Amino acid sequence: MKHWSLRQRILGSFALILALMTLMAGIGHYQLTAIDAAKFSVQRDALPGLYYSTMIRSAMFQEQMLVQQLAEVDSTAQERKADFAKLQANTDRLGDFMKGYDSTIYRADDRANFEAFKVARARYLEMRQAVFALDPIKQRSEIHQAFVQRLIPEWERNRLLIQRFVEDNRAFADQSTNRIGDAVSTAKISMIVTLLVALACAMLCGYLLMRTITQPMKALQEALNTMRSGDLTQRLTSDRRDEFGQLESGFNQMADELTHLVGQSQTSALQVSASITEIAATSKQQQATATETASTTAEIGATSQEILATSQELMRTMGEVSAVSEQAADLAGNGQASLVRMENTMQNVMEAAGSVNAKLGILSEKAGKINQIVTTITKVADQTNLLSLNAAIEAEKAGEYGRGFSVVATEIRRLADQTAVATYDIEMMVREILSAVSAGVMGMDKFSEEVRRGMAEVQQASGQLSLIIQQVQAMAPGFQQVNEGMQAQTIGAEQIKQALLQLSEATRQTVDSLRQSSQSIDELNLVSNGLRHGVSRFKVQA
Amino acid sequence: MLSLLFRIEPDHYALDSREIVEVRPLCRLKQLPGAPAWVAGLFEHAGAPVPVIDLCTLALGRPAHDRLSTRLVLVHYPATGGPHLLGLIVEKATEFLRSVAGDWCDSGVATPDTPYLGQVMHHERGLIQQVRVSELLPASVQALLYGGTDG
Repeated sequence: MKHWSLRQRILGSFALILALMTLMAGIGHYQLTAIDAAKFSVQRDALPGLYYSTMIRSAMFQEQMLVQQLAEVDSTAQERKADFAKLQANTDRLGDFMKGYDSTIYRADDRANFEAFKVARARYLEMRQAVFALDPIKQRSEIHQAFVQRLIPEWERNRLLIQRFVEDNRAFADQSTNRIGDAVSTAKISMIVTLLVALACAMLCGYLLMRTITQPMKALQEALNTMRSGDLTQRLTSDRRDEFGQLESGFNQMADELTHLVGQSQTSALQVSASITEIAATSKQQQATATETASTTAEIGATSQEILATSQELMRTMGEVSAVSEQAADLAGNGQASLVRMENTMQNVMEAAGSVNAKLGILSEKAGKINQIVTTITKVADQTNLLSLNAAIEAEKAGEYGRGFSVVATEIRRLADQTAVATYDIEMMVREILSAVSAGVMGMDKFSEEVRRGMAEVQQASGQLSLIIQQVQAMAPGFQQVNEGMQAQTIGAEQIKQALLQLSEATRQTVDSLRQSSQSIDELNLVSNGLRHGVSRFKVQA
Repeated sequence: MLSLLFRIEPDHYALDSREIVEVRPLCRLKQLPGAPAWVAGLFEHAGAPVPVIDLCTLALGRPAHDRLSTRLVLVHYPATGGPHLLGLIVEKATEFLRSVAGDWCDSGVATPDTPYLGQVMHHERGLIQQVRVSELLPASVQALLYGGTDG
C-alpha cells in the first residue's frame, strides 16, 4: 500500500465507495423484489380469493333463501317460476364466482379445499334437483321434510366449507401484508447499515488520501523554507515511489543544480574580484606607461631634428662624391683600352704556339714511320737468324758434307746479328727523337695553356673594368636618387615632427581616459564586492 | 757437337741439335684445358697435332715473354710406343754452341724435381746446363699427351 501512487490511491478509494454503493443497490433491489412478490400474492391470491369466497358465501345465503322461498313460501306457479328464474340466475352467478375463485388458486391446500367444496356443492345441487323434482303442491310435506332434513344440513356443510375459505383467505392476506411490512422494515435497516458503512469507508479513504498528500507537502514546504533562508544543503529522503517520490527527486536534483550554480557563482565572484584588482593594477601601469610614452615622444622629436640637420650635410657630401666618381670612370675607360691591345697580342702568341705544335706532330709522325721500317728490318733479321739456326741444324745432321754449309750458316747468323744491332741503334735514336718531340709538345701545350690563362685573366680584368665603368656611370642617377631621397627624408623628418606633436596630444588624452577607466574600475570593484556578499549568503556545504 | 742455346732468366741452357727437328717462330696454339699449366697447347705440323710445353712455366711458373727471340723448338720425344714430336717454347733462342763431349761434366747436384737438367759446361757467359728432352715429361703428362695415339 505504501508504494501505491497517488493516482492509484484515488482510483482505489473511488472504486471501493462505488463497490459499496453497488452492493447497497443490489441489496435494495433484492428486497424490493421480495416485497413485489408479496404484493403479487396479495393482489392475485389473497384479495381476489377473499372477495370471491365472500361473494360465494353471500350468493349461497341468497340461494338458500330462494330455495326456502320456493320450498316453503311460494304457492302459485307464477311465483315459483319467477323464483326459479332468480334461483337459476343466482346459481349462474355463483358458478361465475366459483370460476373466478378457481382462477385465483395458487396454493395446493387451497386447491384441495376447493375441490372438496366443489364435490359438496355438486352433492347439494343434486339433492336440490331431487327436491325440486317433487310436485310442489301434492308433495309439500315431503319437500319440506327433504328441505329441512337433508338440504339444510348439506347447505350448512357447504357454508362451513366456504366459511373456511373466507377465513383462510383472510389469514393469507394478513400473512402477506405482514410479510410486506417485514420486508419493508428489513430493507430500511439494511439500507441504513450499508449507507453507514459506505459513509465510514468514504471518510476513511478521504482521511488516508489527505494524509498521503499533506504529509509530503509539509515536508516539501519545510525544505523550501529552509532553502529560501539560503541553506542549500537540505535534501528530501522519504523514499517514496509515487508522484511525490518523483517530485522529491526532482526537488533534490534542482537543489543539486542550484548548489552547483551557487558554488560556481561564489567561485566566479571571487575570480571577478581578483580580476578587477588585477585590471586596476594594469590600468595604473598603463597610466605610468603612457606618461613614459609622452616623455619618449619628446625625445624622438629632438632626435628627428638632428636627423634633419645630418641629412642636409649628407646631401652636400654626395655632390662631391659624384664628381670624384666621374673621374674614376674616365681612368677605367683608358685601362680597358690597354687591356684590349694586350689581349690581341696574346692571341697572336697562341696562334704561333699552335703552328709549332703542328710541326712537332709532323716530326712525331715521321719518327713513327722510321720505327715501322726498323721493325720490318728487325723481323727480317729475326727470320735470317731462324733460317741460320735451322741451316746449322741441318748441316750438323749432314755431318762432314754439311760442314761448308755450316760455315755459311754461321756467317748468315753473324750478319743477322749485326743487322739486329744496327736496327737496335736506330730504334734507340728514334725513341730519343720521339721522347724529345713529345717533351716539346708537352712544353708547347703548357705554354699555350699559360697564354690562354693569361688571356682569360686579361679578359676578366677587362670585364671587371667595364663593370666598374658601368657601375660608376650607373652611380650618377643613384646619386640623383640619393639626393632626392635626402630631400624626401628632410620632408619626412618634418612630418615626423608633426606626427610626434599629434602623438603627444594623443598620449595626453590616453592618460585622461585611463584615469576615467580607473574610476570605473573602482566602481566595478564595489559592484563585485556586492555580488560576492550576495552569493556568500548561500550555504552550499554541510 | 752442336747445341741450341736459350735462356731461362739470366741462365743459359743448351739443347742438343740432334734432338731438334726445326726451330720455328711462335705461332698461335690451341689450348688444352685440364692439362698442367706448363702444357702450352697444340699446334699443327705436317698434318699432325703436336703438343707444346712452355719451359719458362715449367721452370719459373710464369709464361714466356711474347718476343721475336722467343721461339718454338720442335724436338723428337722418345715416348713409349715410338718417337713423337714435341714442341718446346724457349726464350732467347738465337745462338748455337759448338762443343765437344769432354767439355761437359756432371753438375753433382741431385735434382729429383727437375730430372731433365743434365750436365753442365763452363763458358765465357757462365755455366751452361743441358736439357734432356727424354726426361721432360712425367709419366702422367706423357700418358695425357701421347696416350691417345698408342692404341
